[in-house]
Amino acid sequence: MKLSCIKNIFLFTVVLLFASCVKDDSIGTPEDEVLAEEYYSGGINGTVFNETSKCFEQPSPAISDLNAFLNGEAFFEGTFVSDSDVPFGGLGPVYIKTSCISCHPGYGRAQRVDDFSVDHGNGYIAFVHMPDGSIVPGFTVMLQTHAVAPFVPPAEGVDITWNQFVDEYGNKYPDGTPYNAGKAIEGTLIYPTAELINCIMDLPAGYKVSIEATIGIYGTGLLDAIADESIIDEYERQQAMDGVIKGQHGPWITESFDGKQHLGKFTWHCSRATLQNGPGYNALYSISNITREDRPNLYATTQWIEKQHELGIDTTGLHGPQKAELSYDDLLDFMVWHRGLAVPAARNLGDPDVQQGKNLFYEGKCAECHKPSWTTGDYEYIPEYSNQKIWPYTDLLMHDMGDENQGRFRTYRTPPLWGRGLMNKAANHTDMFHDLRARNFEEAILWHFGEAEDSREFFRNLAKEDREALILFCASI
Amino acid sequence: MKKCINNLVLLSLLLFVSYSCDNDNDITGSEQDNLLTEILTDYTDKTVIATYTSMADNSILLTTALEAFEDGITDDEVVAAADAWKDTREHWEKSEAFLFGPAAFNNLDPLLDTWPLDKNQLDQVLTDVESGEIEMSAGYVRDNLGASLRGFHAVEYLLFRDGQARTGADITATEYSYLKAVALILAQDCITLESWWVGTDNLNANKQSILAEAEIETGDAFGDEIKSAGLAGSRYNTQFSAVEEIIQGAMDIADEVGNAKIADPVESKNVLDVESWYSWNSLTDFKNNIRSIENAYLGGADENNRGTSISAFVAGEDAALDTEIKTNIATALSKIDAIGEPFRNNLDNESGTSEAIAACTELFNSLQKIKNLLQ
Repeated sequence: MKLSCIKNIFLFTVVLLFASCVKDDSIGTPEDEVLAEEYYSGGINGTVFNETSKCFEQPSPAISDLNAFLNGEAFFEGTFVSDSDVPFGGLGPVYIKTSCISCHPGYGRAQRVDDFSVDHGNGYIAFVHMPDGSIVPGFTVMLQTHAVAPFVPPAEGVDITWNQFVDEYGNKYPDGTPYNAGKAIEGTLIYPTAELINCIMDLPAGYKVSIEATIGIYGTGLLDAIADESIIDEYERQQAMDGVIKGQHGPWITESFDGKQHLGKFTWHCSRATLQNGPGYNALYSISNITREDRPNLYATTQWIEKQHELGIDTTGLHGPQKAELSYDDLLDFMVWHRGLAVPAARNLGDPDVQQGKNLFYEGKCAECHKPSWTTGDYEYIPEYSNQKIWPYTDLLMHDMGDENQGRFRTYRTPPLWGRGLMNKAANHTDMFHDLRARNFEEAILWHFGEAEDSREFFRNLAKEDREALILFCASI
Repeated sequence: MKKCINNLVLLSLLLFVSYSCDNDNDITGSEQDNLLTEILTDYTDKTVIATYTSMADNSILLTTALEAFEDGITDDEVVAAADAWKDTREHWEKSEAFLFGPAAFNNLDPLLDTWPLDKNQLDQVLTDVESGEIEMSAGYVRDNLGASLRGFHAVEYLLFRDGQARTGADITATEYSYLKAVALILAQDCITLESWWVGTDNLNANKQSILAEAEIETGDAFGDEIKSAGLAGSRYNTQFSAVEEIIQGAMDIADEVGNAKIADPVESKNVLDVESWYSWNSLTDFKNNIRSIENAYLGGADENNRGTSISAFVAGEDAALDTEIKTNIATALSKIDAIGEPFRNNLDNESGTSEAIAACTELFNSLQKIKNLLQ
């Protein structure tokens, strides 16, 4: 305890010194101390100073077991194969992707694609659902489009169409400048629609197909460390506010690993409450269908198995518990890696244009949903993540984003903004939003409808330099 | 260990703060800019592009070697093709200190070098070719088969067994059809990688026509972004940030060789955890990985024609560190060599493997120190 305190004092001194050099025009003022704190996006123990293309892949300073981290990383990067007796074995019989990293290029967010069959970088998950968002019976929540021979997937793929969108202002700012001015995509906004290719399952009238994209992984351990009570406090703050911004918190979910209720805060719809039963923990099983002790059954529906039988394929062995294809020890290492991915430090916060952008970010009420900072609670998995002031820029609540953003649902959890400015370096793209319709920061802001429309209008009415400054701030955090 | 590293980073940050706030560099800003421009230019041309050019050249030679199989396959012809595979792979392994950029963005690292091979599905493909259900071609491989069914290890599986080239009589007509297809895809991928760095217009005519025939197009030359770091159009907003990328790439492979490629199979004692199951080429691969670091650091893939190097920059700032890095490169090479061939039969060589792992970690640590000079 004492040692850790001393270490923290030492680290804080480093922070202050760092600030004094970063901002050598006004050394040691309280403002600089605040700025120095904001460089540590993931807190003292969860931030790395790395601006390379590997900036999202680094272990946080809190990670002590590097071997476990690296072994866990191997399961994220590895390609699973259908042989069950070799390393990375157990793919299929029906699956979504052969590797985790193909959906999280550069450990970041997925890339927008025209063709759903593109493997690398395409992190689209397709949902076959009814208008109320419920999944059509017979389909897994995430549509599977691949199978190991002789099995046949529920659908061979998804046909994505990109449609033009023109807003009530003709895709122009009040000053007459078109959106995306000066680019090949000047004056345009686009959004996707999707349809199934060669589906073998029964489809009811009125079904829909929607796509959603993966979210970055880095820093999720720190979000996991935010106490549920803190999120409820933020929820209550928003309910008490004037205006339309009224975030909804996720459901209370009883986790089998501790029998307790936890608040949903992960995924676009807050459908997962903890990393211990979170999107990564489950995706390692469901995406490639890698069975293990705590997920012994195939990720497949009984209707799909029946359909295989109808097609004359031998389905013996598909029912009931399967052989474990991933060991418990490897799963533990995977979680060490998952929780331990650091957040890259913010950059250039002392730049006058960035500071102007920051002022506008607050003035335009962006910060109402993109809540800049949190102080984490107690975190048993990585004690060093406890009581850290972090800067993710999310309230972890869901907001109505308007008809324009209707997919499987029209409410989405506010995504974190930390590290976004490094995406082009790490993953070679700047695509954003729930279905990657936004091709850059400007479009992402312009797709803010529903509860966020006032902020959209604030942005539209800014002078060109101020719009650029606001984007520069978003790219610096 | 990593924790120590992280604390070291912070400590060095602290030291750097006191250093950089109190001292001016001996050389002027523009002298340093010019030095960095030369370093980034030579790194791009003499290390990266030179390595990828050699890799692509050899991959084409591999496809040529396989043409000799057409009228019956002799043992000598298989040996020649196996040698061409090893020559191509040598340059691939010598490129692993620069897996950032095009190799990562275009998924070429997995497409070329996914391991393990999905032998199960590959054998199924061969069965389907045999029965006539699949008509094998390069196009079929590209459109239908994933990373674990193509690349170096698919070719390796078809050319090698137990560390030796297979006999000509052992290779079936079906296997040959697959071999020919995946070797052509391998060559296309190697040329694609070269093209992404150098720009299609700067490829030789043969390579341009191979890409054109496969309808593969690449975009703006990534090498130009490294060379023009700090200028508009480069995603590297300073020259130091490009150098940091280069150092990160070298650190990553030092770490991977020691802590994964060697350490994982040593820990599991499972020969299936050793990459290159069929050719037993692993130790050569590892040493070439270290040479990729050496080439990146010393400014060129050809030791007789090296350019302005990061080593020169480091020596100017901290001569002792430059010596330390060179020593650690040499030590890593000799310790890996000392494990003994083939690696798969020496997983229980405890002292040999642990010294090699430690040497890679030392190299990683010394490379990391360069980052403290980039401020």
